[in-house]
Amino acid sequence: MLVLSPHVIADQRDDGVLLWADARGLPAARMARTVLRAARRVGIRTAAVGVSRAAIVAEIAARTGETPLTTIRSGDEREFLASRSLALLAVADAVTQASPNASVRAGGSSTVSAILRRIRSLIAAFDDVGIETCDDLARLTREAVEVRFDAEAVALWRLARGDDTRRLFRNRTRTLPSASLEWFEFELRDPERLVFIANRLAESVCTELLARGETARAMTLTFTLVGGDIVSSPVRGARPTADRATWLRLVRAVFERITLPDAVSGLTLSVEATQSNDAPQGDLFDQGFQTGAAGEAAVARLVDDETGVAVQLVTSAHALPERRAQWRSLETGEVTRALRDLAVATTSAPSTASAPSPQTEQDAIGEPLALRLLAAPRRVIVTTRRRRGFAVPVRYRERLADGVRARNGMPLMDVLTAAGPDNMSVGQESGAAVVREYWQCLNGDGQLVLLFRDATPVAAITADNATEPKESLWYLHGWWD
Amino acid sequence: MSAQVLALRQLIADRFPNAKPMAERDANRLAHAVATGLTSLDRALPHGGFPRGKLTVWAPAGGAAAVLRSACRGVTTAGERAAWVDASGTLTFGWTDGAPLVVHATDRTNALRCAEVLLKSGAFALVVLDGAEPAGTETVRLVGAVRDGGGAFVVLTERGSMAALRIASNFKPDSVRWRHGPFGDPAAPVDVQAEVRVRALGWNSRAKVLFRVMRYDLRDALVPGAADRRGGEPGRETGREPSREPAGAADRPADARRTDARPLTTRHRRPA
Repeated sequence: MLVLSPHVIADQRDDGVLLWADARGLPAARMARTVLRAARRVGIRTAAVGVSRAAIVAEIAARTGETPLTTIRSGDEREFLASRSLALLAVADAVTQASPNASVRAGGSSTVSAILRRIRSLIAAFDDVGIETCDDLARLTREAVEVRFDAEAVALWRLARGDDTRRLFRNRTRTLPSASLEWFEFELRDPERLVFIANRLAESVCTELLARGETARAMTLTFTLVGGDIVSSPVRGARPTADRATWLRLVRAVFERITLPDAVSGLTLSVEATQSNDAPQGDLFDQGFQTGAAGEAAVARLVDDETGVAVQLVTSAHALPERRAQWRSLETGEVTRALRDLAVATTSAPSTASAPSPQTEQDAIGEPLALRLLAAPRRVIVTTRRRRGFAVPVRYRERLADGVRARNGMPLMDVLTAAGPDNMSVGQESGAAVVREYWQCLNGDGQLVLLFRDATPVAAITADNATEPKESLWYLHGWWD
Repeated sequence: MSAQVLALRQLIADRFPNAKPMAERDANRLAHAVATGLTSLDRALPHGGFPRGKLTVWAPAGGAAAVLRSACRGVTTAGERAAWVDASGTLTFGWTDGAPLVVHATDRTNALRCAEVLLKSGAFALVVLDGAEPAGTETVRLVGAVRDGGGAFVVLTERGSMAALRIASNFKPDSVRWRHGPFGDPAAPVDVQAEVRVRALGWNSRAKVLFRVMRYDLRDALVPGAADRRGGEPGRETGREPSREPAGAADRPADARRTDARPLTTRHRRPA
């Protein structure tokens, strides 16, 4: 039967065995004939087959059909049942399942038999008012049945109309891969031995994942302790994978973090969530495509180990330069896309590593020098000279802690050229005013640096700096490189 | 090599005449160094670029970041990947195009680990380590990783131990070309020339590279379209061409610098 149909259910009844075969999406009539032939081949001469879209109709067709094979076309279900006695419905298990008290079936067979008894008494009540066939009941309205009888009568009324809402073949949830090992003769406290076991478990789980064409997004590592306690720890990677080495590395990280109250007598590694293993399509002649997976794995490992994170610059129009540019962490999918975008397939483009071409003026000009900003502006001591009403920096010295020498032994740095000031004022409306006077300076080393004087009103200066003269609050904010 | 493989190669060669077999092309690619994209500098570098599978150190500043960014762009143009491990936290403007892949590390040790993982993966043709200086055994470990991965590795550091190539660059203060404002004062640097010195075993050369200076972002007014208060683009706002500002110009008397300045106009008035 399983060769013919993907789902088969055997239902033992008092009068024999009822076999349900799922023919959805398959040629039902041909399947029914094949089933019938198979039954006769094994010696079952009295077998009968009913084919219908409604389970109750198929069952009654098999029971009452005049020929071994009875096929009820779609739409003819009610007509087929019309002349059938209501007593036939009572024997069908559909009644008990369609009944509002069906949830009590789990309580035991006595409850089911109680429902059946009630339904038989209900049919007797129908008989008293002259409702004998399915058609008699189906012609009534639902409200009329519900008012005059009860909820079970409505279930019977629905079946009499050929309306069977049973889901015989439910989708089975596939169990996710897991592997476990328990031992009773000894107990383990050595993490290395546990890692050895976890390695075997991870290999088993990953092999099964690969066989199913899936990757694991998360796993759970469960420790069974000697005292009987169970400790579970989630294991999650930066990206879904079925790579044993990756999961073992993550499991190792769990072993390093976790503290168990007792010795271990069992270990289970189970998959919590899976994802299909989507292999990116690419060009075989694309150099970047060959190493794409390795790049993704490397970046994912950085995230797993919490050593680094891939970032992307996000700019805004904020007045403060340190607020204008913010780095945003990339999600796993974004990293994958970024790495694929980085490796642009340029099979026809000449490689930059080829022999240098004759030098041109354009070639001599490289990338522009970009401004690099310190995360926190560094205090400097600046000597200024008045010029056109402004204090122009002429030399500066980094303000270092006691005992710390300046770089290159050069405490003082001459400012050869100072361009500015660029006045910047922000936050007046919110009360957190920031006023700065920026200078773009060329120092004695030939380096272009960005200095600013904090021109925030005295009232806004913090208590630490309030004692110092306002003119001395100079900062080194960045440089061009 | 079997006849079938030969036939397959012949078929691919016929169908894709511009393509080369991967093994041949990879060997060709790995044999070449990672070029910087600057012809004058590539000529000064042995084999025309940063060597693959070896450590290169570049003393910070002097346009090192700009050259390395150019090299990263060249790498991605060639269909490979580049990564920039940043532990300095100073990268801000000029990194919006997504090349290279920027990885932020929380501290120095993590930055070194990041570099090691990226190098070992073999997926990156160029890895730049910025803001974290390896020392002693850390350098040994990183050299091993770069040898395994086969990419080029450049560290921005003053320490040159175990490096196959050492580069230092510095700007010449008198080579800065300034754009002047209406008063004749230097308003913004336009470009600057750097001298790059390259040293390797049996190799010592110099090169000169001209860098443009990225427009100071704060100078771009928050109100779109508003002119730079101290002079706009050359020939448009002030009508003055950029010129070399001699060193120490800031110390000169203001009157001496204003001799060739344009008449003061309301539009170009300095902010009070």
